Amino acid sequence: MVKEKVQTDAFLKAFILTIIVFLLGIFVGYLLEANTLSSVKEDYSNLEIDLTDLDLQSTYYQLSTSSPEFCSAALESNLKFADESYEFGLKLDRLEQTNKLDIPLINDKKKYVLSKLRFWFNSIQLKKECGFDYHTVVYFYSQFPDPKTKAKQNTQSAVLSELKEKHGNNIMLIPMAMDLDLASVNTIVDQYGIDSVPAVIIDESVVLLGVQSAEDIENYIS
Amino acid sequence: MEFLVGLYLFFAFLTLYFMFLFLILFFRNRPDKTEKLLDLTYFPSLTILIPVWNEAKTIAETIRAVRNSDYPKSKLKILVVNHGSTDNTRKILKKLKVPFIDYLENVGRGKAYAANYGLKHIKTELVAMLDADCYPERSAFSKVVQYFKFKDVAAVTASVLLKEAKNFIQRLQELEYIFIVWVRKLLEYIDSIYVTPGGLSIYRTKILKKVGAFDIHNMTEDIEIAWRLLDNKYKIKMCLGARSYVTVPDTLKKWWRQRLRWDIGGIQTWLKYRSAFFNPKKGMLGWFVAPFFFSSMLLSLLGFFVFLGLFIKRAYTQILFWLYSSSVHINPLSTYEFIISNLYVIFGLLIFGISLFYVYIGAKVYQKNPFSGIRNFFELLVYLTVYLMAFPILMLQSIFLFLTQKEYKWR
Repeated sequence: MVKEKVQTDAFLKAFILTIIVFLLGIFVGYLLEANTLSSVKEDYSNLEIDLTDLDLQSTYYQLSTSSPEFCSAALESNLKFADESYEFGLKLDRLEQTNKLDIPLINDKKKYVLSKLRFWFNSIQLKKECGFDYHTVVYFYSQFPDPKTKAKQNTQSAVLSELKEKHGNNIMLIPMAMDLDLASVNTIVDQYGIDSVPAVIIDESVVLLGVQSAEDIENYIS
Repeated sequence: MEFLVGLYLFFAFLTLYFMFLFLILFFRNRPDKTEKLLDLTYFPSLTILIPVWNEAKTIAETIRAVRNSDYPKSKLKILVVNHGSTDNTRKILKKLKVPFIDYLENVGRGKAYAANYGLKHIKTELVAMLDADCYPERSAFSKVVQYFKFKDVAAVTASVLLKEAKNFIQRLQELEYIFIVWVRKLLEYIDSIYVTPGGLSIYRTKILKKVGAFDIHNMTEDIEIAWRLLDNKYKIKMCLGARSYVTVPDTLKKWWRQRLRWDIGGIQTWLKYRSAFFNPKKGMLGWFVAPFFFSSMLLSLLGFFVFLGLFIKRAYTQILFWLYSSSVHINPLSTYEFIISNLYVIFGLLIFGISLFYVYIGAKVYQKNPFSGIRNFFELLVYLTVYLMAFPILMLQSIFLFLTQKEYKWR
């Protein structure tokens, strides 16, 4: 005779097993994201050290008598920082897209934007003190874009990447999120009358709103 | 956490739950082993009832398969109900000298009408419902009836499998039928078989008549009668070792129409028994069958909408990016980077991995290896992705048809 027992205990066992596997999955996901975040924090820490180093370099120049060797050294440090912070920005961007467990990233993003701001000011000062002719291209974007704005921003990023590749060290590309509620950024945005993104400020004087082609931007930097 | 992410996790949780439930039932019971305990000693009187409407192409072979059965001839009767066929069906029945009756009312409105008419003429202890395009194995009836040794069993179904897969869409259905049959056996262990398919199901005649026979208003009378039997606290069993082979649609259009009918019938059935949902008085119909049916529909639609939502969101941004890129002369593929969340990957891989394992052991029960050969593996991948994706779309269309049409055509 075949067993007649209705095996309803299987429901509870399946539920317990599902809870265990599910929580394990969440835990592994959390670990992976936390691991990436930890690596990002470490990179940012290094970036901050480099930026402080840049600031101090500039301060020393102001305090001591001018030295021609300072300018070339400062430019080299500046370019190195520009590349590192660009790579860091990409890494942060990737982390934002894969982060689905809401491990807080916003403060890291704010610190990053402030570091870009300091770098921008440093670049302006370096141009004045050393007479360099590179162009600063500050690119404002939204941290919380709707799909349409995101598409525009992706396009503008692609244009700027191509320009950077073409013009190399002749351009200091400085991307910056404008809606992170940072007073310093808000002041600049108000001063330049930026009310939409993407927006580009070229050499602290030209403001371009909306998606710009490479040719449009090159008109101002050639 | 984003809404879509939460929805995805809910979907993943439910899917994992049902997968684990079936795997636990399988490993605990090993269906192919439990059946070997049944010995062939019980042979009550049995009528094979075959409703037929324009089945000239297949009826002869069906009759031959029935006559070839090893069931004691003194206990076996055949009754065909010719439901107003306009092709050569009647001629063939006469030529085969098989007992049949003509039923000329409600022609084309469904098998239930013909089945109920035939049932009135049946006096045997058991009645087998057999579709006119199904071919039971020689020992199918003998094996199935053994389950009627248990007095509370009202119906027993068999393994309904494909007769022959001639093209790609039929091979996909072959896989599907194997898994359906395997899961149906597992549902027996929790008293939750929710369909007694027309491919071959045998009923206790007295009980079938007592519960009111088949629902003529339902597009899937085989699902509805199973729920009715459960509602009346009867048991339904499945004989895995008894096989009946069925022909399946050979074109996408026919397949689609068949599945729409099944889905509409499913919706009709669920609505009819919606009061059973988690109702303790309804036994396993309330605790499992109705919620499981509803969850399956919900998971299907949920999974579809989560996928569609994610796809549309990404596609919309991507299309706009291409449009803007072309206006500023940028290569649209220059910065394309497909980034997927760790969370999606983890649960996606987990569910896919368990599905493959699930498929493997389900197919093994029927001595098939879906991983042997590149063609089999390709068909399996298509089944797990493209084929299953059709079901939520079918469900949506079924819901629309159900809400907008007063009467549904059987064919």
